[in-house]
Amino acid sequence: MAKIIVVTSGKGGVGKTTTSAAVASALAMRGFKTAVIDFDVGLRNLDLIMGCERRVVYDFVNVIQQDATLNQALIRDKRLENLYVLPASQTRDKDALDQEGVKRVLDELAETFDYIICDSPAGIEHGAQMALYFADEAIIVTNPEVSSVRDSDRIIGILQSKSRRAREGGTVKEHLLLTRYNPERVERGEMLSVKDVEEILAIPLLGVIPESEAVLKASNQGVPVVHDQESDAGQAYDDAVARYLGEDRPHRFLDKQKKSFLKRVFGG
Amino acid sequence: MKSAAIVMKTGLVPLTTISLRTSSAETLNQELEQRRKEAPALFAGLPCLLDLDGLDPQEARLESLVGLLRQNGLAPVGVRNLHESWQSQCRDLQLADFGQASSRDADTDNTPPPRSVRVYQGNVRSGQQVFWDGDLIIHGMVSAGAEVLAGGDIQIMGALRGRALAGIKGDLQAIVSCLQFDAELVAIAGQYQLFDGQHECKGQAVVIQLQDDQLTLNGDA
Repeated sequence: MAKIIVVTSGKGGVGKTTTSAAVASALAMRGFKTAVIDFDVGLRNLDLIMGCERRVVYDFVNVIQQDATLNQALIRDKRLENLYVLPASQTRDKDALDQEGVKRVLDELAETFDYIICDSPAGIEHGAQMALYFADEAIIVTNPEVSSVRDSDRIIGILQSKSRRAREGGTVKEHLLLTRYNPERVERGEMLSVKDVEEILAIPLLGVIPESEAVLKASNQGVPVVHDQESDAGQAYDDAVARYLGEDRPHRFLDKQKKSFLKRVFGG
Repeated sequence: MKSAAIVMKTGLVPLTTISLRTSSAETLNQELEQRRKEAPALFAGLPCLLDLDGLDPQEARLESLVGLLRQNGLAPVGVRNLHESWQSQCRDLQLADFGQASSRDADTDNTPPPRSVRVYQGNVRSGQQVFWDGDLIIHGMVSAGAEVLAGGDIQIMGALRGRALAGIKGDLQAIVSCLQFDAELVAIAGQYQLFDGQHECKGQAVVIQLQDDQLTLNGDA
């Protein structure tokens, strides 16, 4: 039975789609058959991050409305053979998502996939609720700043009250992923620390992704950042997924990098 | 073969008892409306038991009394201390008859009846609201942007970063306590105070009470 993981945050621009692409890719790299679904109908982005924007013919809404079959709409990743992308529709809006239709698509995917990653839109309205409704687990993407933390708190409340599992008396397992973490700014008191965020949200920490130029580069090139194993962000995502799968890996990139002697002399 | 279409469970569910002390429709309606305005969330669809003890069946029709409750958003599920002459009306209204259990004993006793306590397990997250008529105990934290309200005391076994409103029906003796104080707002019996996050008690365990119309934290105003 497939595990359904929603990547959500409440706030926009914190790194949900980057995280969805990286987590899905890292799971597929480890041999799990993985599907990643873009729930951001009308503001389709996941296809760009995954680098498959020119291969979109049918989309999620077409499948929901039964204008296309799931196999017609699923796009196989060009790098990983057991990774598939279900893109959002760009010409429709979130109202095109209905619970029955979403359930049908997820049930069909669950027959053959190991993991289904749901990339949630920002906000707490219909689109975001559709993305989280059927989730077994949730990755809460949070930036170390107060508004993002509050929005994450809000979305955790919604997971605990409006998801299917919550309605049936169960719980959705939550994981905190802190992204765009900049230890230097934390030290200067301009950003919340990992400890602050953990204390406010009180959910287990899955990983900390450092603020990195590699993320923007990866997005623009359409290559999920986890493929860039040279980069700190790529390694941090890989750590997070390993931890998710039960490996014991220490958290990295939490402290300020000490500048080397040469860097101090010549700048950089 | 064992059937799975119906599962029957027995359990205790909270049910508010509403005792009417008059059968005057006008007076009742006025008071119900007023109470509904005080706590609209409480009234919306609240299942309740109608206690008819002491009411004269000559003065009112059961149907109109029940109608009043329904108009004000309550959901009466049954009646208690039903007069014989009301029994057929009760059946017509499809209300359950809970028998003659009397609440009069409690009235003659001088000690006030114990307030009901609700224990909320878990954290109250931003945007969530927890309300209870009696005392409220939160086994978790109250996040910024979350709100807890109680007719009686509020005890938070964790951090209070949101709002806590105790004694919302005017109980001046109500208390708010928490293990880690960083509240946005605390109110007791309508007297409220905002906190800007720099309070000297921030991060500490505090007990907040009302003294001479002023909120005091651990005894200090």
